[in-house]
Amino acid sequence: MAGPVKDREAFQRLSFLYQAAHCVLAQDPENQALARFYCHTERTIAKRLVLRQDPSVKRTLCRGCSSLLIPGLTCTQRQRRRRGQRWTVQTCLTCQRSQRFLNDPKHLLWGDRPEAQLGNQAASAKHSSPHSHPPS
Amino acid sequence: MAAAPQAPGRGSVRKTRPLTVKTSLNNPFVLCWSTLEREDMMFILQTLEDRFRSVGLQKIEDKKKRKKPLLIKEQGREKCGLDIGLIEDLKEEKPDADQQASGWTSVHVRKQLALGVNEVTRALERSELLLVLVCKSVKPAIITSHLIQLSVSRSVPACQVPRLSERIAPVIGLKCVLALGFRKGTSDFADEVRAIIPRVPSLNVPWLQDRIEDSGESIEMELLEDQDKEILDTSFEDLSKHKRKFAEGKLGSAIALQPLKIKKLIPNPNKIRKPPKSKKTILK
Repeated sequence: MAGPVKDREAFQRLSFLYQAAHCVLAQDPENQALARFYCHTERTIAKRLVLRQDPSVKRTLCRGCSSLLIPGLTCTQRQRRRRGQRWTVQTCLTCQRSQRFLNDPKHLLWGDRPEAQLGNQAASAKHSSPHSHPPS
Repeated sequence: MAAAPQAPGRGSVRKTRPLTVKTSLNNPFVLCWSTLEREDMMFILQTLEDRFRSVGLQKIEDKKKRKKPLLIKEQGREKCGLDIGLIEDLKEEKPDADQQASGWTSVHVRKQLALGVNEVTRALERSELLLVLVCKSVKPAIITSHLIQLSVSRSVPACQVPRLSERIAPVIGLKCVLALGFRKGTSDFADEVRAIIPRVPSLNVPWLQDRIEDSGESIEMELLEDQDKEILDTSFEDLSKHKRKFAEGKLGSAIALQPLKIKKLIPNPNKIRKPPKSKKTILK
């Protein structure tokens, strides 16, 4: 599977909206409503067409209010310890919703592993982690 | 060909299905630290080590761990709720703790530094720092990745130095130093800060044009060097070229649009799935 991708224009729209939200916040840090609107539109498109997004993109979007999370501007990020493990906690400042990511040095997202890429088709039998497919 | 990713619950697969490939929208921005040269890195580590050692020696004793007075400090916190009789006992213990030189030896030097990721983050949010140094050998990298955007938005020079934690932590007496910051108005470390700042490469964040950068760098068409990922360029026309940003911090020009990046994934064959509930299949 090379070249043409289904719903290519939809992906372009998503990418454009994502970058536009960043530009908006760069130019006017106070105007978070517009960035939130862009990201909300992006989420709606992805939901309607069932488009998959990379975890690095999803982590920067708040799930509650769908605002673009930029540490220091729209969200805070802290390291916390809970039950003997170390988590990174990201808190959205508008809706106070927090996301927790576990700091495990051995863990690697499924999308980052070499066997998930299209080039290498031989998928070795590694144990799958429950974080590999987070619910959208 | 690999085994079929779907239908693990059924019997034998008659024919091998073609691999389904999932396409996902990849992040158009690549946030990474700038590379630091070897000499700069050694120089920075060396100056910091010497400085910490010298500062430590000028004060009473070397800086030691905070773990020793843990019990004493806990009792000190509970002081408010305890009776008066117990408070006197605690007060007797406290001078003992000071004699052991537990805790930081020089408090006012400690106040000029921001040690630890959380402290550095908080100080950056309040824009109190002059320089930020981050350890590069961090796993997973998410612990410090947010510092890039923070320091760029506050226009504070920051760089990632490998092995920062390995060298500095034993000198100061801490277990692990992932991030280090020098507050504004630091008197003891002013020379070091001034020596290190010119050696720090500037950070590049695509949508936030860095004020330290030159106008010669181009932001558009950032291609990934990874061989595994397939990059599909779109035929978008660029909105406008990258222009020089003025010192007042006004972003007048539009930023070039990054090309669309799509990541193609093969689904995990070992993914834990719930057995499908259907009348025809036999539940495991």
